[in-house]
Amino acid sequence: MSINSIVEELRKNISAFEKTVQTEEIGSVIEVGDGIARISGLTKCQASEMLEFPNGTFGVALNLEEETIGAVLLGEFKHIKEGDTVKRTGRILSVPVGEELIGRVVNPLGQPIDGGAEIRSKKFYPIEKVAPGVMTREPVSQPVQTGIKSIDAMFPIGRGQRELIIGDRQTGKTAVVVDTIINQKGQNMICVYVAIGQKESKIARMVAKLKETGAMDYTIVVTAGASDPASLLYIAPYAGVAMAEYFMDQGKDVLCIYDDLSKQAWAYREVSLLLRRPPGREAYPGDVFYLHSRLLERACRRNKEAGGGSITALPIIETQAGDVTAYIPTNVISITDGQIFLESDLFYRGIRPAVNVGISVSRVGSAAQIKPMKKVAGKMKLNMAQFRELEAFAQFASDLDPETKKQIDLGQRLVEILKQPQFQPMPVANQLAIIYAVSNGFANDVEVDNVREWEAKLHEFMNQTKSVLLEKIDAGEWDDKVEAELKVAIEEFKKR
Amino acid sequence: MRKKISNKQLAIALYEATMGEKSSDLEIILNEFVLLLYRERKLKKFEYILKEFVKYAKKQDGIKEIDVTTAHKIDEKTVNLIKKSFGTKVEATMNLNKELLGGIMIKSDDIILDASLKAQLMSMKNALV
Repeated sequence: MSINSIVEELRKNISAFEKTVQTEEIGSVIEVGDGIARISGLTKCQASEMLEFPNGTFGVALNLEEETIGAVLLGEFKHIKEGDTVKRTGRILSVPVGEELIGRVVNPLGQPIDGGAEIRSKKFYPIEKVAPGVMTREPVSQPVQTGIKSIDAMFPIGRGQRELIIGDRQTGKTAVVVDTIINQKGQNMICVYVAIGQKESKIARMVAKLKETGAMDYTIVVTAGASDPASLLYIAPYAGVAMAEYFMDQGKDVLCIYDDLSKQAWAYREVSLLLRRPPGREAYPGDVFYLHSRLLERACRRNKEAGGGSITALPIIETQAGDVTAYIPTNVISITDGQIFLESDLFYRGIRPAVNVGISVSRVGSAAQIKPMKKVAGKMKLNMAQFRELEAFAQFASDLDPETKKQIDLGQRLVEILKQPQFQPMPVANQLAIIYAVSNGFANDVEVDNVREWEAKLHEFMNQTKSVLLEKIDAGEWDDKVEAELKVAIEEFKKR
Repeated sequence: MRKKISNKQLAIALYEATMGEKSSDLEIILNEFVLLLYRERKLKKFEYILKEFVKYAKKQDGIKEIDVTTAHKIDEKTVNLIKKSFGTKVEATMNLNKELLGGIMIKSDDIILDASLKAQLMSMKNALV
């Protein structure tokens, strides 16, 4: 482009520019502190409208009172003082959405924090939106493959489902969702990972891992770190789901992960108490249930007439010393369509992922499971339950009747194959092959300690010589013929 | 907890109580008002209450207050023209601010009418960049 054409372009733009006299509605700050500002004036301000403070800091009007407005400040507030002018923006709090966000790390306002280029998105979505209604929804019918054997086999998740992941600290909750994101490669899924109150170092490590595995090509990371103000932590999940809704409106499937909602509830409690809303149980405000229900209700599977697409939600809740009867865990358990319990006991016994098979459930996902998995893994949960009852007798192995011994042997081998190292999600066809082999007694003559080694060899054999069969299973084919084929393949492997 | 009475409420109360009373009664009313302020521990806030009182009284009398800011001094004729466009009873405060570069900025209650050169340039910058 020559200088002349640039000048010409500028001239054109300037002549097209229309002079307008702006009228602005203003108010003044009467009190500021702890991330909260009270403002007088602004008589026509709407609820949850964005307000502009000096130096480009934004706030959100949360309390509309007779004389004053209570607003939370999003970002730095040290420079704001009493008497400062506050302008209305006329915009309900909204975030930029679009393809430009994919592969980026942004804050809850949609501003990049990964050091990359500015996000020039033309579209904005309000962060608070009413969830899709009854007539636009349909039951889940497609699976989300997490790549984790214990989850895909026993607690399947469908596209549009809300499955809670709950457990104490250090039980591998984040590991489960990171594996799930990594496994979405080529599954036609966009992932939104919302990190709330996490350590920045943890986020950095995770983003590096996602980049390394190529998962950032379809992932947006929204993060409100531990050092960000509570107001940002509070709006982060809504910002994330607004970004997800854009892709759902394009008819795409989105996976939305909130890590974790207990920290968001703390942040909301902080904001509410500072705004002098009356505290209730555990000092949470009265609308803390609505806080989570309106967020998770936005996860849905929409029918064709309404444009299709889905949002699957995987909220995470951190419990204190395994107490799932606390206020926030019970709330979120009742909102979601099932939960995966992770236990520190199991974790330290080396069963990782530390899924407690007894109390985890998935209420709607089995409808979305592929047919072969449904047939093969159907018995698995029952076998595991029976094994748990008999587990205590395992040490008297020599004195047991053959039936009980058989059950214990099977259970021990099932537990072994459900162990899975981090960052190694497994394709569903391979999962099925190993579960079929063990459930049908093909591994009974393998020592329990050697089962995992045996499993690795089986996968290697299957991938090398039986890829056609695996593809068939992956496509959901399952009848006597395919089953017989699989049986022959496993017998062939055992002969080697 | 009892709800605190705001400065504005006190100012309105004082206005309502004193309006149309004889000057001999005024002293008694004012005495009572000061006692009320004492009871409510609002004596320190008297300055603010007075401000609110003046504001409220002007509003009741239909007087409009405007704040006019310009970059350069403007003559009486223009001021009157501005006053006229806001109504019949207008009290204008004139300010000078070189940062506006040119044009005029008028503030009335909660609304700012910004026709300054600075604002125009800013919006042009936003449109171009």
